[in-house]
Amino acid sequence: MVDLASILMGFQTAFQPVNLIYCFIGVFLGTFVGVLPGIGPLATISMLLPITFYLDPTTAMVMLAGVYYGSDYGGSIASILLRLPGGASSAVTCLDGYPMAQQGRAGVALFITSVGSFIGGSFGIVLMMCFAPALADFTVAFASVEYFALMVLGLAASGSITSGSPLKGLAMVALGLAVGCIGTDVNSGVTRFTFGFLELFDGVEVAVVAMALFGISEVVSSVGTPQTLDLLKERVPFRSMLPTRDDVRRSGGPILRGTAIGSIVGIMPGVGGTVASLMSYATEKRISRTPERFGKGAVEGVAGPESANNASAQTSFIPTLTMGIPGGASMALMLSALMIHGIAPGPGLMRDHPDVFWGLVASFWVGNVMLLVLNIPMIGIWIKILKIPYQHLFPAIMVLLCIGVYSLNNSVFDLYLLLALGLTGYVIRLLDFEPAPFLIGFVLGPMMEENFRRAMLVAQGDLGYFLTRPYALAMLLAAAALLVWSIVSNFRQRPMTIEAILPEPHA
Amino acid sequence: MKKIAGFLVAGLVALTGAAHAQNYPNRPVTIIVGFGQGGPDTNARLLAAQINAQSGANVVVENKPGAGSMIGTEAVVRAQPDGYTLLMTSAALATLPALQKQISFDPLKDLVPVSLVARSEASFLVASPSLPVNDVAGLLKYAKSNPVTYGSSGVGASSHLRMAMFAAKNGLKLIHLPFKSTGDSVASVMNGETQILFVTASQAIPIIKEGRVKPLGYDAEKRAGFLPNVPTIAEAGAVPTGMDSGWNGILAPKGTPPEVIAWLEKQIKTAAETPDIRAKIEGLGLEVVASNSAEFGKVLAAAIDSMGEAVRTAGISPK
Repeated sequence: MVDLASILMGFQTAFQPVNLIYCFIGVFLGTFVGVLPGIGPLATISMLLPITFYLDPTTAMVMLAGVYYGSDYGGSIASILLRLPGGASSAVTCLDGYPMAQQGRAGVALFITSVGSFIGGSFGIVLMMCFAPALADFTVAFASVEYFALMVLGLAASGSITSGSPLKGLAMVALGLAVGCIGTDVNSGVTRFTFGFLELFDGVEVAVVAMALFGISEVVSSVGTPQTLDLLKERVPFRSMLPTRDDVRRSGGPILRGTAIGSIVGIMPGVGGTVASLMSYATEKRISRTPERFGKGAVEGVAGPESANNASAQTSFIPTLTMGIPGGASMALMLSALMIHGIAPGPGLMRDHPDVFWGLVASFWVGNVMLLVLNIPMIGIWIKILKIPYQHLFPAIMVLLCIGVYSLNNSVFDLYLLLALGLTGYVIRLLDFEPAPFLIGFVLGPMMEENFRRAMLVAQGDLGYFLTRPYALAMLLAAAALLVWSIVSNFRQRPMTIEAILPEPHA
Repeated sequence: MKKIAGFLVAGLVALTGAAHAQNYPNRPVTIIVGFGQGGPDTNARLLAAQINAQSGANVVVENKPGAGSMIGTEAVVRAQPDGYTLLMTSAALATLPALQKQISFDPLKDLVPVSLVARSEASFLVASPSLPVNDVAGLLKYAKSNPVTYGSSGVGASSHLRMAMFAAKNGLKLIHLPFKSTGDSVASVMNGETQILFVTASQAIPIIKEGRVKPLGYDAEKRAGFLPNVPTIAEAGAVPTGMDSGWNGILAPKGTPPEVIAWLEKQIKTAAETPDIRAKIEGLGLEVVASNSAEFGKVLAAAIDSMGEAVRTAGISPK
């Protein structure tokens, strides 16, 4: 199964000076655009595409792919420091990363993020190197019914994400589902909740939702707070950036589980890193003995999702390269970079162009090492952002947010959406609702609906169809078990809660 | 007095207009693409880079995606007709009048065709390996007594309209499963969730060659040179869809000076026929066809008629 000769050949290609240089350019740009909110890998790859016309196809892919996975490293930086997700997949990192930064532990969060990302990414690469041919069939084995079951499992697992009132969490999920319904329904072509705005025909961009709910609401609510975090006024010694032994002990499990979750999710085309990081966060919180620490700076809540996110970024190349099935717009663009050079992507790519395939996979690992080396020393510099007084920092953030959102579709309408959703985010925050369940409903809901309805079309309305699909059935049973478990554990805690809820007798 | 002033102003405007057309382009020209990254956008970028290299102009590409390319097209319709805002679009433009209730322009009246750039290849009708048919005749027979599903890249997409025409012309009742992208619909026919699909040649060939799907017929008048053993749909004993293959082309707002159009026609033709650019466009599964304005106008008018018919045949109500 493991094709050592090909792997060696891949490393030979990846270590050619020209490929090393372009790999560095790719991951460096990737990190940079990852940090900037809104400007994501898609826009960057599109702008770089004309340059790749004059490069060797392998070199071109090495650079474009570097932008793609590099942006996942960068995306978490602003999430941790400023609660400003660079993209939707790093929104989950805000939940515990930002509280860590406020406690003066931003360095630790960034360090764990880099290491977790590296481990997640590396595992994804090893998986590709050893099993890509075998996994090729797996990538297209799933039909709508399995996608639906996976989304149900994801939703059931995510029930734990709220740290406040479960009812308020549910309300937010429902609101997210409703906003997710905006746009053209895939199955019928009918537009829903568009109120006649052409700009809403394609729905609301997930990046706008993430930036509004996390970024804007944070800026608005912090306007009245002190000028800078007092913790950072004095010099930060490098030692304080290193995780404590306790941090390392707590992060190990989440990194491994996040890596596993991300690797599986990435192989399924079209699911994406946001689902991977949400699922990883939900898993960590659910199995933690101290779930109450989550949302208040638990290192597990950073380590797991970031590993999942990066593992999924790597394994999402498996369907793209082994089957020619791109999981998203960035991947489709990378395939067109290959096509322009006369290389047809598809099931024959590995055999017909082994140099491109293995060179690229080997470059992933080179790129991940570069990212690790690039990011760890940068932590000290990034943290200095927190020393900027708020009156200078906030306007800059708002400008960056607006540029980023505008760049998504070159659309002013998206700015109005950012404003409206940002204000919504601020109001729900004042009322003590949380944005994370909103994001879950928004991301998982539409995928669930689309796939359920398609599955029902295939089965001609027969729900018994689910029983005939073993993978789907297994995932649905797991989701049911999760729900039962959470109800039971809720009952166990009940005596305490009831006393807490009971009104105090009037004196 | 007022009248004289009016004439003077009008005369000045006319003069400056002519002067502008003469030294066109003297500032950046924007090609608006009504789609996101990939597809027509890649062609526009290839073309813009070559036009800049050969003429010293400064052509930039801007994506304005949304509402099936309606947002980007509207922006161009409303732009100053001075040649500094152009539209790069696909055959999707021809479906808009039939698909969209909220359309605010007439593609034939509010836009001036400049030039076609490329045509896509014809499509293959492919079947999932698990479908127990091996040719078009077998499919016609099988579909009479069994439910058959087909995928597409969305309601109103060309893969949807083509199959709807095929079903109508051959008296079949098929079940439509729309997907979000071509990739998803291709994966679905490979795993057997959907049973048949129309897919363009460049995407079909790799999966046909690897045996991931069964080729049933080629929706064209002649067999494809690269897969000569796959019969055309007519040869295989069924009625072909009669639908044109897709295209990419450049248009300008109505009222753009003819000199500007002529300049652009010439530049696009030279750029698209540069061997290097031609090879790259062909790599994307397209054939370079730099036409002139009049030819493109005919293609567009014909496409609006045939797409309108296909949308009605597919039973899609405008949204």
